[in-house]
Amino acid sequence: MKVGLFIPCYIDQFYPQVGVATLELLEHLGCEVVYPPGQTCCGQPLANTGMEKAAQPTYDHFQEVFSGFDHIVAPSGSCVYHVVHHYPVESRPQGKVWELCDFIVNHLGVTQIAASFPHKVGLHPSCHGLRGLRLGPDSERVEDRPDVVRTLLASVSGIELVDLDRRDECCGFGGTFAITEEAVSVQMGLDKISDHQRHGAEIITGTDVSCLMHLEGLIRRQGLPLQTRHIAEILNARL
Amino acid sequence: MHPAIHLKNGMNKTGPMDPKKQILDRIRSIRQAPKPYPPQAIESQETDLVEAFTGMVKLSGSTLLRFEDQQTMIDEFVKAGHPVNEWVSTWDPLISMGASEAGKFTDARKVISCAVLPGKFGVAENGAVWVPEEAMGQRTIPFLAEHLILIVHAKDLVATMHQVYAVNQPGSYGLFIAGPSKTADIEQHLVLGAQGPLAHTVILLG
Amino acid sequence: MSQHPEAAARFIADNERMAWHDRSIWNARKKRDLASHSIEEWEQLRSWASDIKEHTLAHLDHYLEVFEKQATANGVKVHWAATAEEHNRIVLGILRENEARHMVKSKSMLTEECHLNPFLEANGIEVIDTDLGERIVQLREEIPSHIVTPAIHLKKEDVSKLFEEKLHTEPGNADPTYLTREARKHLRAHFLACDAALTGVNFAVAETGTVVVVTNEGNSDLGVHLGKVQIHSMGIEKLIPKWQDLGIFTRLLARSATGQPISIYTSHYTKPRPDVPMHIILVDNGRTEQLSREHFRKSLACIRCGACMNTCPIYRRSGGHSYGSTIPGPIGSILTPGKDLKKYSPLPFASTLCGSCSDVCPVKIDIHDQLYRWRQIIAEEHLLPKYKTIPLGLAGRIFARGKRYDQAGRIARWWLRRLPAWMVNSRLNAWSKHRDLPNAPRNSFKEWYEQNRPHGS
Repeated sequence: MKVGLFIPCYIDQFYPQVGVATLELLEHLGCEVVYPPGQTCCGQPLANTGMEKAAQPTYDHFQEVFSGFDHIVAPSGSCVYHVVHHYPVESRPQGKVWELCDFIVNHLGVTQIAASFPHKVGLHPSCHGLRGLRLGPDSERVEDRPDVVRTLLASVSGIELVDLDRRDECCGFGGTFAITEEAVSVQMGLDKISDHQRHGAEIITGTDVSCLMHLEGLIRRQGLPLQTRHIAEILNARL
Repeated sequence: MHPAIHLKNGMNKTGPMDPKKQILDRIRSIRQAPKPYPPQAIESQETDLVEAFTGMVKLSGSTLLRFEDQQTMIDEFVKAGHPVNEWVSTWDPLISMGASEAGKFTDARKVISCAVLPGKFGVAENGAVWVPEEAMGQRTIPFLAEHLILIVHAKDLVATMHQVYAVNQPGSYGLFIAGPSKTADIEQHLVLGAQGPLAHTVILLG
Repeated sequence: MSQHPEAAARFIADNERMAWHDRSIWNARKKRDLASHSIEEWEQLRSWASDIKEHTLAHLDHYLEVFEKQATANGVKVHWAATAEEHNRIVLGILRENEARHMVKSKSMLTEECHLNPFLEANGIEVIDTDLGERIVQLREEIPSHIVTPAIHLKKEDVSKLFEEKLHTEPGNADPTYLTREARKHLRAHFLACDAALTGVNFAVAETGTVVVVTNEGNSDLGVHLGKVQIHSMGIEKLIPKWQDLGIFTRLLARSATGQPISIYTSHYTKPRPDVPMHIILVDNGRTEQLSREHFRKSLACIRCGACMNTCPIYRRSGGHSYGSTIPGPIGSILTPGKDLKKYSPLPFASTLCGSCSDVCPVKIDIHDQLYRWRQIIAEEHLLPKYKTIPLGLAGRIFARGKRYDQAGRIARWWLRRLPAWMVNSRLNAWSKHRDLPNAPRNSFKEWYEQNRPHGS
């Protein structure tokens, strides 16, 4: 099966190891992965600021780059949510766009990953994956829904997932919100981190590098004994 | 973007505009797709009504008393030394025992230590009791009494709000009462007895 | 112009108080979760409530006329007000007609929106807000910071000081029960002395002409039943078609608002008392305009439970007053821009678009999607600040071309690796004030891929 790999811009530029882990993981699961070289960004930073019109050429570019794939997979719930939820229908790529964990569980049908990660891990379910793509049940709605992210993480050998007081409160990144509402953004991030710390997490993981980049920035500035890892890095930590 | 601004004072060139016409015209000028009224099938739930109702009443900070029937209640509760002649009620058995008729109560300044009113329905899912105007004597009574006692028959319990709205009627005035008046407006500290009754009792008969 | 970021930063600067505010409102959210998760059919109720509201809004002219006809048949005088000014003049007219000078008022965000109190006071009417929280903010000459718990931003010590000054309570006694009892005495005197009562409306039933008012304190009824004239002011969006619909809405409202299974008093006013006139005022004041905006129409389904405020991580950390609008929080941020887009243009940006508000909403308003939509309109109307449009416009041009993007990325990373740390993490840039930037790797993923998968996979 040929899969188009979409590596969002901030991963490409700042966290290439997450792109590598995603690629290796998908290859390990038997996919034929192609990374179309002309790709850039999904356009979300512009659109979330209200500049959908200025983002249109980026949408068109995305559509062109990913034409010809039945499945497009990205290690980001947020970017995928933007493409499937906010792109004008006529600008969406033909193939189905998947968040990585969603693709593994709901397309490949894989729920067990042969990986080892003997650490105490706190999961940060990023909002666009959780409430946008419904990758799991959120705390607001009354529903039974399988949690694809948690399922995969729980299958990793040696991992200990910690519970949080507020399991799915937003971390405060929010794209340009992190800059324009700096005070609230930082406070939300600090509160999120202390929830993880209180429950003994050594590593914070999630489906979105954007949230993790914000949390990592705070952790490093404060010199806290915590680290962030994208979920692909954990799932690709081979036995 | 703001067409309303031109009409702010309800005036147009030809003089004062009828606000009703103005509002309805504006609504009618908006193109909206028709939306059907949703079909509803509300199933009656299998619950132990008495148990659920009792639990909810207690949870609201109220007292719940249960008696087999009216006579047992009078013998075991009313006659247990309560100052019935200071009470206000619309319930004949109590009036015949010396309680004042609620309908004849005139001075809102006078303290009503206790009012006893028959409720018409009890709702198991939340402990609320439906009190129609006829049961109050007058509309102020449930609020001026320092202690409100509502009497409900077990046969008048229903599971949920859906069921109660299927049987109660708007009448002139009526309300659900689900406990003593309360507030949490000061630092979210729950205080029973905000402006209405300080205490609330539900007597379940049968 | 409303300046949410600055106001929020000031709120957060008192860090301990902000943390207390966040915790105490989060408690309301937790209670809501317990209450809603105890109802198996919760999501079904939300769908029905949403459908009923959408149906009513789509046929609002019809239901308004049915309601007026029914209420009139019940002996109620129905008034129509296109604007806040008209509403206020109608209220004053009713009061003058009944020679009323002392009015008690139970909770009504509509009268806040219409600025009724200052108007009446200027016309010689004494207005007393009787909901305890509203009375507290009225005595402080503030507006409510939350639509359900108006004084949620205050500590008991603040109330104690206020009551000491205004109600002559014991100095230093901040016991909530004591303070509530003192307020009870104070308000009871006003109830007994009032000659008119005005309430807001939670639901208005078209088929019966009934208005429903929900309180925990009983203050709506005390006023209405003691006054010589009763007035109910309602936005035209409060209508629901049928008496039976109340079953759905009363199950959702209190559970969403405070986590109670039902509020203490759910009062149904249908006909007046003998010789006591009853008036209902139907108010537009911008609602038909909001109805005309297809993307924002659904915001009129709001039943004012406040759940979106309680769940909003920004609201809890910035306080209701930071929004500078009558209705704060997520729902306020989609309702208010329609009133004055320029003034309220920062509000749709006071959100991370996390979507929690839409998922707690008992009538399923797509709040976060509407925030996103308002942002597009604000940009189209050229109301975005230049510090946003210039860099993002540039980014848009870079993202549209693969080569341009690769080059820009290489240059940025090159600089980030070489600039001294103090400059990269300069506190002058908003990201780096409290956050380190990520390390800039030598190679992008794309460069790695070209080296490691030279012929594709």
